[in-house]
Amino acid sequence: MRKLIYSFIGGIVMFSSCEKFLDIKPKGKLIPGEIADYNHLLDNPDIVRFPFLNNNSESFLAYLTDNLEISEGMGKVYYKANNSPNIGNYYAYIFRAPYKNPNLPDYFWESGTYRSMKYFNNVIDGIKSLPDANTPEAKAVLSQAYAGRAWSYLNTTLVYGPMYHPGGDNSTKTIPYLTSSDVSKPVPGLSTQQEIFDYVLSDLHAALPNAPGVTNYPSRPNKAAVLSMLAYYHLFTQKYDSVFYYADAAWKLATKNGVDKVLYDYNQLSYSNPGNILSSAIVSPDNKIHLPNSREILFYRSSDLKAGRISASYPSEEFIQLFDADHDLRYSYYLLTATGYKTTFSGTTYDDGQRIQYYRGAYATGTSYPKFEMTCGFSYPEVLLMRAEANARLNKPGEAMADINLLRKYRLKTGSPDLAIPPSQEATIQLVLEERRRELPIGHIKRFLDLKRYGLETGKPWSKTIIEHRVGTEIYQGHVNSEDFIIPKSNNVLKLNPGWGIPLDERPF
Amino acid sequence: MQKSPFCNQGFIPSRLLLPVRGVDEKRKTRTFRIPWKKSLLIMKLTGILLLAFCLQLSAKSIAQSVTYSGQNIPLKQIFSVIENQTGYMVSGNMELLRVSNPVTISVQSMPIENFLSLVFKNQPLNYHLVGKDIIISRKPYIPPTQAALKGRIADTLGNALPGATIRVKGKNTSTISDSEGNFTIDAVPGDVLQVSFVGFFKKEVKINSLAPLAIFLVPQSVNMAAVAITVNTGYQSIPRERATGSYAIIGADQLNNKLRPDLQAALEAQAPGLALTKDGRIEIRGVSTFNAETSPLIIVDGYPITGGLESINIDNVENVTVLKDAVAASIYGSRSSNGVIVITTKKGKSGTMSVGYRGSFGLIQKPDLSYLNRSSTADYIDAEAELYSQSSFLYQAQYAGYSYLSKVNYLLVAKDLGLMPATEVDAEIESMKQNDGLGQLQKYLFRNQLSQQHNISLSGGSDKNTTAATIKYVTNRGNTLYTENDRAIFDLRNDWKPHKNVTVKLFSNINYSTSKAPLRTIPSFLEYYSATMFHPYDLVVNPETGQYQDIFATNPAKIDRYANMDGLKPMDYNPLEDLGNEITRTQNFQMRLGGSINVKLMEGLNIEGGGVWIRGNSVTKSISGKDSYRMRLAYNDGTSISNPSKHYIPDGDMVQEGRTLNQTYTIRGQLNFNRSFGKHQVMAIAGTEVTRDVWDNNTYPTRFGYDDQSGTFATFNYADYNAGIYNSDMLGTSKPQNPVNIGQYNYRDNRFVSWYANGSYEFDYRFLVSGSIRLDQTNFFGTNPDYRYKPLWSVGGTYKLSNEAFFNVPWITKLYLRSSYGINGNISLNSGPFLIISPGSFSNYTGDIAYNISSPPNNSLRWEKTSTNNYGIDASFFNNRLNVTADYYFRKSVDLLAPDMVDPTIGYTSLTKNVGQINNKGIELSINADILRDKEVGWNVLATYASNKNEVISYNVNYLYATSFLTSVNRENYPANAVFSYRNAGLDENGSPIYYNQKGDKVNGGAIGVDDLVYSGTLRPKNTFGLTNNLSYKSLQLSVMFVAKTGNVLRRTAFDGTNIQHKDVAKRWRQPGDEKTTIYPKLSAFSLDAFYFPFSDTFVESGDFLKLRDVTLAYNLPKKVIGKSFFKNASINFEARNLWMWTANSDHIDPEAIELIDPGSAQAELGFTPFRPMPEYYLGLRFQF
Repeated sequence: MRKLIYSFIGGIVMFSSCEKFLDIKPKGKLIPGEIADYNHLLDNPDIVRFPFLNNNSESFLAYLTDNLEISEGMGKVYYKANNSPNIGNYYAYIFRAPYKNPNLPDYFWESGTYRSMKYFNNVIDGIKSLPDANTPEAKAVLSQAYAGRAWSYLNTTLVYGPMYHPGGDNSTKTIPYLTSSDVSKPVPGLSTQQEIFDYVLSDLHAALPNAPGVTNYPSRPNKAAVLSMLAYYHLFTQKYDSVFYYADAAWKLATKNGVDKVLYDYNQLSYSNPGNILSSAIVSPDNKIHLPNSREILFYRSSDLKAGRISASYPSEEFIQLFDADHDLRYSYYLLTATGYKTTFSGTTYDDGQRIQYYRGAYATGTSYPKFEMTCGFSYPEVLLMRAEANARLNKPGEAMADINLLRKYRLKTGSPDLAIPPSQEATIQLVLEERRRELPIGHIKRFLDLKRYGLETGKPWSKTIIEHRVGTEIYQGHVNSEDFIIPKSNNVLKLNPGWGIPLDERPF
Repeated sequence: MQKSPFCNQGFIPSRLLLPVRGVDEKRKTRTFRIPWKKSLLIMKLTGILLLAFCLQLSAKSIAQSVTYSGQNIPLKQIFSVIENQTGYMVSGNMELLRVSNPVTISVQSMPIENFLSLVFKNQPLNYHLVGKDIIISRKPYIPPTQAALKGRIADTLGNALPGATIRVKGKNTSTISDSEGNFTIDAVPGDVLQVSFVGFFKKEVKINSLAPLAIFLVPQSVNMAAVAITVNTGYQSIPRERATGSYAIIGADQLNNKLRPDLQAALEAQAPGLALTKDGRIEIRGVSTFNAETSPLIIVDGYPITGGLESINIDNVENVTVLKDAVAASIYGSRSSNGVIVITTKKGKSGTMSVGYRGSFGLIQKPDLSYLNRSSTADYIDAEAELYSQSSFLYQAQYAGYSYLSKVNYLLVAKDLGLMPATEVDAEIESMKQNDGLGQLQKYLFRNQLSQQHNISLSGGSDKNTTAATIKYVTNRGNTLYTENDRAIFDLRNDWKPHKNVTVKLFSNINYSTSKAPLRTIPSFLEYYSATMFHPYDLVVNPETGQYQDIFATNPAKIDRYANMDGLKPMDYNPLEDLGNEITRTQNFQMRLGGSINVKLMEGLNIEGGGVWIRGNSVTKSISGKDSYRMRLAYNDGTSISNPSKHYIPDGDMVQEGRTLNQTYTIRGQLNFNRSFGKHQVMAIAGTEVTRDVWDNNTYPTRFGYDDQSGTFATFNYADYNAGIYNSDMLGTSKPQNPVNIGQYNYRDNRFVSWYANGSYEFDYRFLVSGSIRLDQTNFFGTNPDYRYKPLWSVGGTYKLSNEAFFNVPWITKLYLRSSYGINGNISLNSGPFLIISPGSFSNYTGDIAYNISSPPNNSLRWEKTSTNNYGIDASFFNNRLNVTADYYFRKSVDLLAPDMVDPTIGYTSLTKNVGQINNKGIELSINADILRDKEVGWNVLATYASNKNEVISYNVNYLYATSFLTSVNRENYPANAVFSYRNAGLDENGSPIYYNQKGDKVNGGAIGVDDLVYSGTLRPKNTFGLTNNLSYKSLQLSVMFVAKTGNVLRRTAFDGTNIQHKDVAKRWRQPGDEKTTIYPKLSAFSLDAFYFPFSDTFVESGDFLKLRDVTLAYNLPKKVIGKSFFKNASINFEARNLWMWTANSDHIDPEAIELIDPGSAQAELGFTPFRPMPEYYLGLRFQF
């Protein structure tokens, strides 16, 4: 009997010393404790999927630009009468603010920038807390997080704020610069445009020395990508020598094994089903032209693939006219003629007939892959075009045109003549910027930011201060250097941050 | 210990251990600790035991007689001999045994009655036989008085009742009847005699003269089990009289005649507060959490199980105890918030051999597709044609792009593109309008569900041990083609007494279930849209021959294109045949071994150790045959353009497989104390428990080119295929899986350590108090010590008013008042104090496995807590003919884990925190009345009523926009599952629905904000009613059960402008002016209106209903029929369910109709494919020998 009592007491004691039994990490839950664990977080698609895109992966930013056109039927029926979830495209097109419902979540903000920031900040804080935070492996991961953060904040501050004025007043408060992964910390106040630019530059310089030469996938910035970001950054500071320095370094790094490694020769492309080109995939030598790791993509961030095509919009006449229809294979592959929008609504028939449409990002029927993958990050052609722009702006027309003609070799039919060196610097810049417009995606953020950037150069042929859009017979105008091109912050964020001092957007939607 | 020639010496039946009056210990469960590594040994042991048991059955046949000899044997031991040899059980006040004399006796096969009179001859005790119960009582002390009144106390059959108490009401005079039932008492005419005897209803008799009286008492129940109902909490058995909490006990007799094999259905309406939701889940007293577990904890034979109620053999259930309030449940600590259901399985009966069989055949009528409210074929075609005309270019592009087109759309494209003559197209479309595709599915795809169950139970044993074994087999033919499932449940239970102070119990349960079902979902046959594979005009069977036939499924442009290529497979689609080509099979094996050892340390104190070990594995395997449409299409489309002899999807079957291993053990050590000291009774337990719950799942990569015969499969490049490298080299785009599953592991290792204690003290059978405390620790919570050592506890008290001397209401037999307060817990193991990341699937955006942040670090997480106040009354009236239990409770659930709305700027829209609160309050009423009760006719009514009103007190979710309310929501100051609606204002002149905003303006749906919505009610029924009438006449028993639920609402499905499958599609707006006559919007392929319109207040209706849930009829074959056959009893049963319904809503929709697939999903609330419970019929047979 006594033995039993003792054993019971023993049992109690045993259970009391249960620390060991309980002191295990919960199985099946990954609690990061190594560099590799944090490294995995950089593969989260949230980082790349929704930069300046809504939940239907469309962006109204390009609808403010001169690249797109909305027909009367699309505007009045598809967008307005049917109460389209993408009605922001139409409101942006007619410059009717607010473009998006200020009381709804702001996808650019929530799903794009700040959701991706959570990963960068967790990686940075997490790795810094590890004992081996100073190893090359740790630094390489940190570099990618810094670069990702910099790219995102640079674009975000330019979307939610005015254009950066080099040497001018950049004291407008734009966005909060969040760098902590601790969710219990309050959201910081708004930073000025100058402060954000300074932060971005410091992140890029923190990233540069340890940026890996190659990464597994273009969603992760390698050294060439960080260099390109610096080049792009300086397009806004108008330090063109820096643009040249970084773009040149990036291009040389990228092409050390040959230009063919980073550009597709469009003469070598074909349709997988030539009998049905609208729905056909594009066959490229490495079969990757439709993928984010297409050889031309240096730094991948999702783009608006629908702009310029039926149900969304058409390419503007001005955009179509940019192309040499006879020689430019981009025209042949991107700009296809197809049935336009047609509907009958309330007794009125709207029929757009056959229209030239932007098929570059069109999905081969039934797949979730575009014919050509695009990026709003950086493509290698854009690196070359940035170098060309720097050359042109630094008045090196020969070098500028050499860059342009190099790209055109890969884009125009074999045997097409090179562009000659124009007589003036202004004409050279104009030519470079036209090539840039042809090469970059029609939709999304690139043209929007370029227009804002050129807006400072009043009087130059590439600079526009007013954008004019038509719907049927009605004409709408938007002013580039005004609030028309600055996106307001959403009310649900403003409500929680009264300290920012921004009144709620009470305009009816 | 004194040895005797008989092995039964020294064995005391467990029920005699407790010196408490009215205690029935036979349901008490004790367990012992199994070192789990020795499980194999236990399995072997169990097998040997079973063999031994079978041998014993054949060797021992028990009669109602006793063979025994011994000298100076304590009476207790004699009782154990009687119990073991005859199955007769002794009850009554066991304290009396202290004054008994030892017995010297030697008899051979003496009838029990004679044996008893011998044994009791010189005892200061009396006994009385009721059925197989021997009730002992003190011999009357007859004072030497010249009593005025004489009489005799007997039961209704005239048998004397010795030891009955006779009191003169209002006077201090009492006496006890003698061994012949006779008594003498000092009473005069005009006095009222109060007669009571344990197990019988009290009786009052007014004296009119001094003539001798014959007083007959009515037994409280046919069997004496009712005398000593125990509450089984899993940790201990408490006599009902000693429990302060709110319990509901459902006995085997309440489940006996239910032939439907699942326990859930059988529990419905048996206990107030236990509700069955329409998707078959059990809820106790409403909902007390947002994110954590909502099901009650299931305890079987003392330990939690992991297999769910379906793993329980309903025929092997002795009773079910529902623990509802804090006192009842808080001993389960952090998992008790949702209530606890304690199931006790049947234990072997000592001495007698018994073999029983129960079997039944069941039929559940096939689903009624008219419930789907689908559009007529003609209306559907008309709508398809209108959609085509709205954007013909889209359909033409689909045709050109080889995409899927419905037959109508193809014909219209063919007409427009000149592929077919217009007249031919028109004629074909016209003829298709006559097709009744849905009718064909009703007839050929669905079928009556047939079930069979067979249960064989063996019970018996010797005085050393008792064993019960049951095996049950249930087989079901499902209600659609190719579906079936089977389950076998095996239970074995041994109870040993190797020493007079030691009790050992062993139990084991084996569950093996298999199922088979088509991979292609049934709803996919019933969803009719332009883009889906089925349409009401598709005929799956040739109406003339009755043979399965092809439907239009592949774009003719694609067929033409592939026709010119070699080596491709045909692309015809025969739906009903194809359904059998893709089958998912599951196998699930679960084994539960457990046991306990109980050692008596001293009088009233014993120590118990026990445990349970559950181990199981399950396999799910889906095979898509190479001849299935899916695989033929994938093979063709996966053909390489550059090298047509290469196929990216290899020829052969596709197989998807997952395997899971699970293991759980609980080890428990416990001290039990139970003593009476005069008027004081104390009962207490204290113990500690360790639980580990491990789960290990491996989902294998999908394999192609599989051959089920040989197990061979082909190589496959997952990385490149998923990355899309082959896309532009593939003929087509259809993929059997996208992305192809590369496999996955899922693990769980949850650990808990707990300490618990509870105790009760009763004074003079009048005042009872109890309390409990429990501390739980896990490996998951608790880096913050502030929250780590927070025990959960409860206190309760009962005042037995009717036991007071001053209580003198003749028609009130019993009146107890109860009250309790305590705190229960609930857990969610999805967040913790660490940053938790989790791998997802391969992402093409990042070229690797995507990792998510599943939970940011949160140091302040803690258990959810529910505090419950409970006030109850237990009352019996008119000699226990009317029994009423009423409870009022107020449950406050705080610290609920809820998504706390945060600034999205930090990267999260919400964070899980302990921020929510729900209050539940309700009334529960249970009435059990014997309206008629005599030898031949009986009428018993069991009525249960429960009201539950809940309110979300805090829930910090910021609903930003009206479309957040497409499903029912939790919102502060509203009940859980609150329904909010748009205020419908008709249509505008363009046929678009408009709604009132809060100012009363008519605006379109996009302009409606959160504040413009109106509250329409809750989906949760507030009132639940159950009414069971049990009628018996001679050998016939009829039971009729009604259930009702009221106080909730439902949403009717509506034509919303896009769902052309809805019956009201033809009522849509077509031209200006129509808005005056219809509320249904214009037709469009995609419109945001569909996100608003169905949520109009117009479509919210009452969810009240009343149903005749269950009718059972049992015929027990009379003795004269069974005669001298070897059957002890036999009966034939019939049960019918869901025969009749009344509903309050205008469409007579069954509010219990559930969404066919994923009944728990958010969209299920609207019920796009609602299937209602159909009538069920069962015929059963049972006998015992």
